Amino acid sequence: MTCFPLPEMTSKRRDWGDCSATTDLRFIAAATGETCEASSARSAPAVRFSPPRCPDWRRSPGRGWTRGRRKERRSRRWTASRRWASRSPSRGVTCFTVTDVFDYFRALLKKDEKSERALALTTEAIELNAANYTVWHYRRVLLQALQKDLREEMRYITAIIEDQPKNYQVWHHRRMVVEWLNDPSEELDFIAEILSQDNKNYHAWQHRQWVIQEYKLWDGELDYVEELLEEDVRNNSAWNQRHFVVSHTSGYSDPSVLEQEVQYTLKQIKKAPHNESAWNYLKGILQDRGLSSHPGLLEQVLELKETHCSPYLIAFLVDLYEDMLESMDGGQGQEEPLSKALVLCELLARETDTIRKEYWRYVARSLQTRFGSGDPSVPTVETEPQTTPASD
Amino acid sequence: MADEDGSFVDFEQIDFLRDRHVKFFQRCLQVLPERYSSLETSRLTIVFFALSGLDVLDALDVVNKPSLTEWIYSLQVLPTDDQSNLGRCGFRGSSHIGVPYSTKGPGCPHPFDSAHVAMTYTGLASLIILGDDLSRVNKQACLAGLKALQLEDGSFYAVPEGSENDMRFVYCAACICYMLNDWTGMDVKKAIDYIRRSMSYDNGIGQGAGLESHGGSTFCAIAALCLMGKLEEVFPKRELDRIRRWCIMRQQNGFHGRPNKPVDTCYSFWVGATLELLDVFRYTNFEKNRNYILSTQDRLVGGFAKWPDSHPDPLHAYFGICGLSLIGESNLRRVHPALNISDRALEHMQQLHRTMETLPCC
Repeated sequence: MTCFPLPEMTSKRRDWGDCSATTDLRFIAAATGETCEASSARSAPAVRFSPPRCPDWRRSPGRGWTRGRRKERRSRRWTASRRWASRSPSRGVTCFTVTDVFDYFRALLKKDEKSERALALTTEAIELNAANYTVWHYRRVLLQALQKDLREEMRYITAIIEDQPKNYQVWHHRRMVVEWLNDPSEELDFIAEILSQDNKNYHAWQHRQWVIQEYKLWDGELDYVEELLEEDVRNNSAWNQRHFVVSHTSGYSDPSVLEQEVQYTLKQIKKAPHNESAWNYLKGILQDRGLSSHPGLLEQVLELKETHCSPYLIAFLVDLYEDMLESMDGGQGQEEPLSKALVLCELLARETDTIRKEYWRYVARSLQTRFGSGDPSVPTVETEPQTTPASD
Repeated sequence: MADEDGSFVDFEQIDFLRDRHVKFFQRCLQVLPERYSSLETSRLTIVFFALSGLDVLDALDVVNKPSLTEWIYSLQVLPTDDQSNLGRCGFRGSSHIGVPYSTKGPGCPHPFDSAHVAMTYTGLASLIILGDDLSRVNKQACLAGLKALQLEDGSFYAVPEGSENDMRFVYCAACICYMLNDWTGMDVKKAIDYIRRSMSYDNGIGQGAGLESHGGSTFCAIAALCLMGKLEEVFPKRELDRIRRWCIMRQQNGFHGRPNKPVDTCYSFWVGATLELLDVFRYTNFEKNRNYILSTQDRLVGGFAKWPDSHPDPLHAYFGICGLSLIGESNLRRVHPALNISDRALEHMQQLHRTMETLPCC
């Protein structure tokens, strides 16, 4: 009996054929003997869903059919074979609606029935709405109560995630199955496959970090990150993953590791100067030790400014000078870094990052207030509050 | 019509079509197309988007308030006779489980009926927006249900049966405590610790420790801290300045949620509100932000989409309008940037709190 719809079998999934009668939805309906109304609300339930317009419903004698429609996805695996109805004009037509499937689901749920037909029904319900967390929970209860083959379940959830990679419930379900099996061996490859379709999928990265941390699968992850950065040096998720791996393995306290990371990042910046992710990484790994404390960094960045300038570089310099001022702690020689920082803020405001010009002027005022000489001849002016352009 | 530079400015295309959006939200409260059926378990959040959206548009008069209020109360998971389900109390997203309709207790025992933290949050917010006095909310049961969801690391599940856990539900929990004016529903210290550990190397805040910083989770974290009244206690000025910098860099014209990602209308609220809470929203470029949001407006059907020339949906419609409210768009009510309800609704809530405090016993 095919309980788990593998992608290639989807068009046959409605083929109950050798299934026992207990999986037939009509039998379920008769056996439960209950009409479980969703809610005989005396006040109109807010936000109802219109019934699906699905003309091509089919039924085979002795079998039940349902028909559901999913929203179009840009998944490459979407094909016509994913549609439910098989076209067979010789067969009669009886339709089970989405409401039918969920009515039966509600009936079984209330009884807390633990059976194969209940499990099969969760498959139907998931097909119709994979975001229904109650169905997934009930399915997990059944998988354990019926001691189902969890390897089969892994194959199932793999297919579902391929089809709906941005759904929270499917990833949580996969995590539960991996935990039960205590076997993460397929995870990194699977997640890499999902990331190959969308390399910033937050769910995929979250699952990946969980697997790596839980099962200590750090080996090779830095190489994977570097591969991704080779493909797209602007992939912010990959930069984040780099930080995740390094901070949990060697850490950044080792000066040679830190220097290696700084040089790696500067190299990527030279390849693609206008890349906030790389600059954020550089600042991030150095800021707590003080940007101005890293030997030779100021000089390297000033050099880069000539040939590989960007708003992020200039902002980095502002932050570096600010750090310099902080470590001077009110001592001598503050005028020069302060003046440099103020000039750069004005450069950002007027030229390189004009969308944030009010912000850069605010930064300049803050620096002036904190580190300035308090010279009354240098007025600090609050900008006028912005008004929205007329809209009526 | 030419503007000062002499270039042609088509005002038709950048005006805010208030009446279309009112109708859009009205339709959301009636029937949604079948392609939205994956929202079945979270219908209450759609009601919240529509109600709060209409409130910000100052159009709540089109709504059947008593009817909606009853429906929302029918979603409350109340304690059963033997009180054995207290850890499952709060609000459901819809009637999808099939518990018989009822707006009052005792609760109906059911092996799988439990509340969802985001539905408790949006349920309470919707009641407040509707002007309800929350007298039929079983406050202690809601708080017990909330307590049952918090994990050791300070974050929250969505449901007591277990689910993913991340910053979204920390925010929902904070909103619930704030609206019920009772912080016994959570371990604030642990929640704060979770937030602190979720700050990324790049000074944004992710969904959890180690995860990529994101405009949505940054809002959830900062807003939760503001609701708790703990923002400055948790983050010293230097860190707040770093968070400000991360957030303000999200503006491209509209806002995106992560570096090197495309902009999306809803981040005009998630990031905009965060910047407002951090007191630097005024330094953003209002005009470019407004132009982007309005470019995603659906002129025919109403509502807003994440991108121009895309289908509108209730979430982007609501956050598009909130994004415009933040920049002071005329004829829109102001939105409280942490609690995400109108100032008018907030005032009603504050009045309720004052009334509850003066009662001899509660």
